[in-house]
Parts: sequence; structure tokens; C-alpha cells
Amino acid sequence: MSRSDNAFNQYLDLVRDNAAVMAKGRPALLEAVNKAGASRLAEAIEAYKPASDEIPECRLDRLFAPDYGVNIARVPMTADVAASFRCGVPQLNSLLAVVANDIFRPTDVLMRNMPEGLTVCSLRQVPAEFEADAAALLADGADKNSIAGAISDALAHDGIYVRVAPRTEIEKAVQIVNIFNSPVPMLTPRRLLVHACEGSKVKILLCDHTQTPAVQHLNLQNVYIRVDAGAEVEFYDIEESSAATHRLFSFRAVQHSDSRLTVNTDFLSGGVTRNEFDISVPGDGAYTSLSGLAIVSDEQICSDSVVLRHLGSHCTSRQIFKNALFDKGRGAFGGRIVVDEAARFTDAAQTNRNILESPSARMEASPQLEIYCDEVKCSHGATTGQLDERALFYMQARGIPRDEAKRMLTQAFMVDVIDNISFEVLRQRLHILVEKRLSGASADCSTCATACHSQAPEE
Amino acid sequence: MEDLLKVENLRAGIDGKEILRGINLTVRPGEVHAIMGPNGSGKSTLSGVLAGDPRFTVLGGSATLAGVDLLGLSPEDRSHEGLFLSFQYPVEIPGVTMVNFMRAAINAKRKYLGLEPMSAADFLKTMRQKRAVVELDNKLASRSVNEGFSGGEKKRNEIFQMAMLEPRVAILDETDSGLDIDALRIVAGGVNKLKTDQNATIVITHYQRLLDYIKPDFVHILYKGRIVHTGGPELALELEEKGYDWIKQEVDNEQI
Ligand SMILES: Nc1ncnc2c1ncn2[C@@H]1O[C@H](COP(=O)(O)OP(=O)(O)OP(=O)(O)O)[C@@H](O)[C@H]1O
Ligand SMILES: [Mg+2]
Repeated sequence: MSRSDNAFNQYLDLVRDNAAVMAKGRPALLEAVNKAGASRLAEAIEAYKPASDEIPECRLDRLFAPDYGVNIARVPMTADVAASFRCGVPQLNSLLAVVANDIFRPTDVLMRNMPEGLTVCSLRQVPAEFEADAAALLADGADKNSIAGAISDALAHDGIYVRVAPRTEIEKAVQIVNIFNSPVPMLTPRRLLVHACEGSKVKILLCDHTQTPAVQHLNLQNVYIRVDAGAEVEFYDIEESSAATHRLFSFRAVQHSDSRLTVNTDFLSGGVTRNEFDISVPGDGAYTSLSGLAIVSDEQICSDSVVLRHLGSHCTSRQIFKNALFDKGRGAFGGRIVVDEAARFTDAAQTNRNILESPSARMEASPQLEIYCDEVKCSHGATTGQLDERALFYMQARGIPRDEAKRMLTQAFMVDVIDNISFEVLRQRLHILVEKRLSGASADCSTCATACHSQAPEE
Repeated sequence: MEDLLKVENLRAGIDGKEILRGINLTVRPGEVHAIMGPNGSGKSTLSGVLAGDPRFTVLGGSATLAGVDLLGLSPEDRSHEGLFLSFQYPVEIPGVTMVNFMRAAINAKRKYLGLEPMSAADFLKTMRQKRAVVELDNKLASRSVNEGFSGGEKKRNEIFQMAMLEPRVAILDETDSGLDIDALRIVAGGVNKLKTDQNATIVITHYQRLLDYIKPDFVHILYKGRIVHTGGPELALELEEKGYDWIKQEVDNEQI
């Protein structure tokens, strides 16, 4: 058996050997997903071939190779660890939920303050009236073309279902904090399903943290968002984890007519991160904004790939991704915009800019346009360069030490991505966070923008 | 009196090409020196080499500021020691606001001198006072460094920064170029206000006009990387009248 077979087969064996454990208390919803996942996995293992242009560490056979434990018996994290997660940021004032390793835990704050029209619950406890909806999201959101999607489905035993009722605006952000806390290596299938019904509005903030930084973890995160006609969703994702935490992040969304979707992803620290965004816009007149920044240092790797499919007409999309790579940091950006025949009057723009701050840092960028329609306005561009030496000298000549000048220029380079964030509290915090990260503050949770688990007493 | 700036037999080049071919210059406290000379003679190279521009390579000689060896210091430490260069072409820095830029500069200097960072209130007060020296618009002070500034605004901004940093030796590289007549008067007036008997100014210019406002004690002519002539203020008037040909002939004949 080849190494790559081993990497994946261990999960197939796991679900086969533990069918009874997994079946315990499992709702029909998840049973269907597990079964579909396992059968796709068997086929996908046969068919698996790594892409030739991938960063080797980002290859799926490498990411899945370690002997991770999977918590199929649903052993909860120690109670006090989870209980200590409180949002200490009064301004953020979010509706907080925690995913403790792989188990969803709503907080009292969330349960007590759940606004009218908002549902946030575990996939194990979806109210009967929404069961069909959740099942449809699970099926539509399955990552069917990837072996990672098959593993994620085969192992799924929890997840979060968020539904915003039609024409309901949720003012507070729904904040989901993913936490790793495990003494042994662990793979966590994590799933977030969001259904923003017609004319609704919601902000979602996802934060990744690791409390056991020395232990190897793989965060297998799957997000699926359905944005119905006229709905508006803002989705923010901040990764601040450890070098031993790897992440395979699959984000998929579908947008209907006149909807708005804003996605912002920020890599502040981690090990090997592979982010995949796949957004389809069948609706007309929709607006999509995708932005991201990554500060990659030491031996970190952050790879982003985006596929944006314009299928409806009169849609606009804006993408901007900026990466700063230090030390032996490596990054990749693959951006594909597909404009379907029917997608007349599409206005799509994509920008990727990267700064190499060290001679051993690397960046691969490959933007692509696939246009099957004449009446469109599309632009894309990718540049990789260094900090402006003239600006550095000018700042030094005014007495600013070179390192500080570099930090200021790097921050200036990223400022438009941050300023683009309309969620004001988060924008301000991200400014501080990026500044701290660039000035070399250790990337632990105390520096995190969201300060989601400081020990402040609950209000 | 102790020399403030002493440059001896300074030679420097770029990409293997020697540009400064033995510069000697002594500046004492309270003095104003003007350096004139044809295009490409090495005036900006001299100011860049003194400020530590990494594009240039020092090939020999020395430069000291109040006895401190400048050439061994980083550009930032040269600034902390009291050297200021008003750039002929100030650099635009999108995304870095003037306020953050100046605060970083001031506090870096204070740290070098062993002082606490300036309080926010004191800093803003100082900004306000120094802006007044060159009548710099508050709007410019709140924008990104030099970004979208007009040529004249950039030069005014240079002298504002000089006012903030209170250098011991300021080199003004063609600060007059790009300034309209009123701005020239204001900026030159600003430079004069900053003058004390403890500091010194070197003005690099092509025009007598600036020297009507900033009165030099000495005028030097730089040609082909050397100071080939030094005189009093009357030398600038003579150049205005006669151009550089006579100087060029003198020097080029000597070389034969
Ligand atoms: N970056 C550079 N690369 C190559 N040559 C350079 C560079 N900078 C200056 N030089 C050359 O060095 C010589 C001196 O240039 P410098 O800018 O010092 O002249 P200057 O006296 O300031 O001229 P001006 O009056 O036009 O400002 C010129 O021949 C110029 O072409
Ligand atoms: Mg010049």
C-alpha cells in the first residue's frame, strides 16, 4: 500500500471499525452524511492524484498522513476549559458559541440572548421544523470533488446550523470560536452551515485557536453558506493558531439574486493552512466581496485558492488578497474567475499582491480568468515584490529604525484590506492585531483581536 | 569653535562609478553654507552619502558630526545624532500617515537619547507649533506621507519635518525647486526661524533667489565630484551672471 493510500485509508478503516460507536445517538441527518462520505471516500482514494503545482506540504496525502486521533466517541473537553471561554470584549458583544475540539457548545450568553428569527444549534439538535432545510444544506454544501470533503463527511458527528429567518436583521455578530485543546494529536471535522433566508442580514465571525500548541492538530473545517435573494452575509475568519496546527478549510457559498456576500479571511499564525473558497453566483444583480491577508513567518505556509463562478447577470465581484512573507514563509494564491455564458454585464476584479520580506520566502500566484460571455468587465492582476527601498531609506533618514520602518510599510501595505472591513469593532481590533503580529508579539490568544476567552466575568 | 560637520577627502560612487572624488568641507555652528554646481556634478550624491543612502558606496575619506564618525552609523542613527536631509525628491509612502510617521521618528530619537516617548498631547501640540513654522496645511499633516502632495507641498513638508526634528546640521537639497514665490518666502522664513548659533545649514540650490532669503556665509561650487571654488555670498551673484562656463574651463584646463 502506498503512502498516500495509507494517509486516507486510515480514516476509511476508522469509520468501518467504529460503525457502532458512531451510530450511538446519531441523528438521521448525520447518518446520511456519514454514509455518503464513506462511499465517496473509497472511490476518491482510488482516483487521488496530487496536483503538480501544489506546495508539497499542502498536498492532501501529506496533510492527512499523521496518525491523528478522531473523537468519534464524542468525549467532551474538560468542562472548565470550555467554561472559561467568555467574550471579554464588551464592544464586540457577540453571540458566542465555542467549538471545543469538535463539539459544539453554545454559551449561556448566546442561549439567553438568541434574537428572534435566529437559530444557532448543533447538527445533532436541529429543531424538527428546520430538519429538511439542514439536510438540504448538508447535501448542497458537501465538498464532493475533494478527498478532504469525503473524509469530512465520513467523520462528521457534529456541526453548527445557523438560520436567519426571512427579512430578519441580526445586529450582533454570531461568533464561533474553534478551540483545540488535546494532549494527543487530533483531527477535528468541523462544519458550519448558514442559511440566510430572503432579505435577512447576518454577520459571522469564525476564530481559530489552539490551546495545546505543541501537539499536532488538523482542523478540517467545512463552511457552507446559502445567501437567498436580497440577503446580506458578512463572514470573517481569523486564524491564529500554532505551528503544529494544520488547517484544511473549505468554504463554499451560493448567492441568489440581489444578495450580498462579504468574505474576509486573515491568517495571522498557524502551521500549514490550505484555504479553498468556492463561490457560485446563480442569482442576478448580486455583489460579492472576497478579501484576505496573510502574515506568514518562520516555516509557516498559507495557500489560498478561490473559484468564483458568475452564472447570473449584472453581478459585481471584488477580490483582494495580500500576503507578507517573512523568514522561510511560503504562500500560494490561485484565483479563478469563471464567467458563464449567461453572466452578462458581469463586473469582476481580482487583485493579489505579495511582499517577500526575506530572500528565503516564497510566493506562487496564479490568477485565471475564464470568460464565456462578451459583455463583461473583468480584470485581474498579481504582483510579488519587496518593500520599497526608497521609502525605507526615507524613513530611516528621519530616524525610524529599519525594522520599525519595515513593520510600518508592511502594515501600510495591508491597510486597505483591513479598512475594507465594515464591521467596525473588528476592523479596529484587526489593525492592532496586525501591528502586534508584525512587531513580533507571540501569536498566542492574549494578542488576539477577538479576545474571545479572556476571563472577564459574564455580564 | 568646534567643527560641527567635517568632511575630509570623501570619495564615493555608485555601481562602480566614482562620483565624489575627494570632498573637503568644514561647517561650524551658526554657519550657513551654499553648495552650487551644474547638473550631475554630485550635489545630491554628497547629501545622500552623508545621510547614509545605501545606493552609494563610500570609497574613502571621512565625515564626522560633532566629532562622531557618521559613515559608520546607520541612517537612523545619523538622524539621531542630528543630521537632517531635506530630499530633492521626497518619497511618497502610501498607507503611512504623517502623524504616525512623525510620531515614530520623534520617539525613536527620544529613545536614542534615553528619553521617554512623548505624550500624545505634547506630540499633537508640537505638530501644531511646527506646522505653523512653514504654514503647512493641517489637511496635509493628516494624509499619507507625501502621497498626492504637489511638488511645492512636498518641499514644505520637508522643512516641517526639519522643524519637528531640530537637527544640528540640515542639508537642504534643492528645497526651493517647485516652490512658488510666496511659498519660497514662507519656507525660507521657516528655515531662518530654525537657525540658532548652535546649528548649521547647508543649502544646495541652483538659484541666487533662495540665497536672498537664506543668507549664506560661504558659497561652494561642486563640479565633477570636487569642491572647486569657495567664496562668500558674492560668488553666487557672480554665477548668476556668468554661469558655470568659466569654472568649468578653469577646472578642465587644470586637468590637462
Ligand atoms: N542612482 C544612480 N544610478 C546611477 N547614476 C547615478 C545615480 N544617482 C546619481 N548618479 C549619477 O551621479 C552623478 C551625480 O548625480 P547627482 O544627483 O549627485 O547630481 P546633482 O549635482 O545633484 O545634480 P542636479 O543638479 O541635477 O540635482 C550624475 O552623473 C548621475 O547621473
Ligand atoms: Mg541633485
